[in-house]
Amino acid sequence: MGFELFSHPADIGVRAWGDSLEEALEEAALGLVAVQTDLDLIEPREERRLEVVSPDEEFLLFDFLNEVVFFMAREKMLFGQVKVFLEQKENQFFLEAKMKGEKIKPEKHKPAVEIKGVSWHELKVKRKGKGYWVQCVLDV
Amino acid sequence: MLKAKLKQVDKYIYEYPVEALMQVPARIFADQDILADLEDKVIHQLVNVASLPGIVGAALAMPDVHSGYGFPIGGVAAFDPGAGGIISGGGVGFDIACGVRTLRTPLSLKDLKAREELLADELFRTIPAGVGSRGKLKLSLKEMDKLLSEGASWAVKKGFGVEEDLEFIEEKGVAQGARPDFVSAKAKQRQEAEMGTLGSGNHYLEVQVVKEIYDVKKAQLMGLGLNQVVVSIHCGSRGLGHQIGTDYMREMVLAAKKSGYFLADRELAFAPIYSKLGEQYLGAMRAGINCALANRQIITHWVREVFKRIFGSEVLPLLYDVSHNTCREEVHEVKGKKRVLFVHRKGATRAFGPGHPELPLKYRPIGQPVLIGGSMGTSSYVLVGTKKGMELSFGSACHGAGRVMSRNQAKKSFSGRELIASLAQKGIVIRGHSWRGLAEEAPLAYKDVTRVVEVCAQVGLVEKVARLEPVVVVKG
Repeated sequence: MGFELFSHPADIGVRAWGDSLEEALEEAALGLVAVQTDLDLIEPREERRLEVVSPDEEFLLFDFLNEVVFFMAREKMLFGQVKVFLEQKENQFFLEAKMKGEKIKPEKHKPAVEIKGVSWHELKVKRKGKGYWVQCVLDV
Repeated sequence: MLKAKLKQVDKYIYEYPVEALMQVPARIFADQDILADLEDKVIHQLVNVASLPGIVGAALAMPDVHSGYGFPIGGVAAFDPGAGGIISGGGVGFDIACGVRTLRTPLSLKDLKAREELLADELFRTIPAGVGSRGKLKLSLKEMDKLLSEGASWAVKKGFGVEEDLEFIEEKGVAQGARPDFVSAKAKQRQEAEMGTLGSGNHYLEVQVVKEIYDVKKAQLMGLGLNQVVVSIHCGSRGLGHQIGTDYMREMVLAAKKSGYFLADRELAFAPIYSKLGEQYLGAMRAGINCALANRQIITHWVREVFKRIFGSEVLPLLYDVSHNTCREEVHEVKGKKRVLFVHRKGATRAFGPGHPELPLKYRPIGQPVLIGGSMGTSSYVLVGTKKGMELSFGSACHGAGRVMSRNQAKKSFSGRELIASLAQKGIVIRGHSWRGLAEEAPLAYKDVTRVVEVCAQVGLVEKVARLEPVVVVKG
């Protein structure tokens, strides 16, 4: 499992992979935070929980990451640890995530850019072997 | 290579002819240099836009165009609601009504008397910017709804600026038909602490000096003279606008999924203008416009306070305020017939020509002021719209320099510290919240704004009035 950031003319993309969809989504969320700051600088001081319900795997990636963006923006927080729990019932995905992190401290975290949202552009969720590979472009 | 199919139809106009699903041709305003650098992806995206239902005339790209997602950045597309025309969240962008406003000061460069450093510190301290910054205002939900309905007019009522300012904002400072009830609770929550904040990325506040005047009469009418100090503010609708974009892009993509409509890129997802979702997005987007207008109005007030504290100058009149990520209902003449169209401008500025009834009386003889922001440390321009632009581009022009280098590349190629040192050598004082953020906004990561403006002027979309150079730059 892991993630990498890639270039897009005006923005930044995130690719992530893992042995399960849960793991790939966790990595994607960490990739998103890494666009703003060095993950090692984030201490797990506070926990936040979020839930999303989505009609397919690609909506799930879009909905989950946008929910992370919302929490970061509203609570002015950065998350360095993410745990995703997933359930599938009647063509709906139910996701719950627990995220640990702390409030943004500009001197400490030196956040570079604010993420406006996750776009649909080149957004992909693929099965790779037994695992998953996901990709999206962030509007910053 | 799609580029090979472009036909030159005029000195600076290149056209991609109608083929396959395209309803209209695609047109690019460019010179040979800009064309040589043009990404094939931009043409691909224009072709997709030209294939959307109800599009009128042509899918247009300004000289500062670069590839976006779905729609290119620097694009203009007009849709006829009566002909099945659509509205698209991706055609407006996440940062609804991001834009530029310029204030005149009574000072000339020599009046600053080496107080640039103090001015930079005071502006940096007074106007919240950067990731994680909190505004000084906290609004109740009820107050937020008023703001979303009344835009800059709400801000003036609250004591931010003066009534006269409203005259010099597009739509007189209020997007009519805004529907706060179509804006999600999340979007409003995200905005709670963000009114009066600059944001990050390419947003800025600059103290500039008028370095060159191209048209003395028009400059005089605008109140601009050589060496005069002006202030420009570039920012948008903050978290609220971003969340509206996210919310409605989801709804539009979901609608396409349900109906089985094929989208070449899901960021092209849309709703017919005459549909429930279309009306909802339109109402929410207009509320987003009002949020951006109020935001720039609040920042304006604080800028004025800083100038009053340091220079004792009471009045900094608003020259004009333009938004460059919008969709607006406008009347345009198409083949001799007046039609009501919904004009998407994503990274493009409205540039109405002389005599347009939407313009304040003061500017009606010369056309709408068009404010073009450069990249950090480079020139900005004051232009005016033309009659020819009304015919060629639905009264639109470029919005800035346009990126040529990704943020990742820029971050690797430049250092924030070195950048500041090199700008300091040119006499520019910079305050920023992040070295990395500064590096990503390095001037070389952008096209040459002068060339972009020159092409717009050569085509006749605008006339040049003045060129501004930065003295103090505050970045988010």
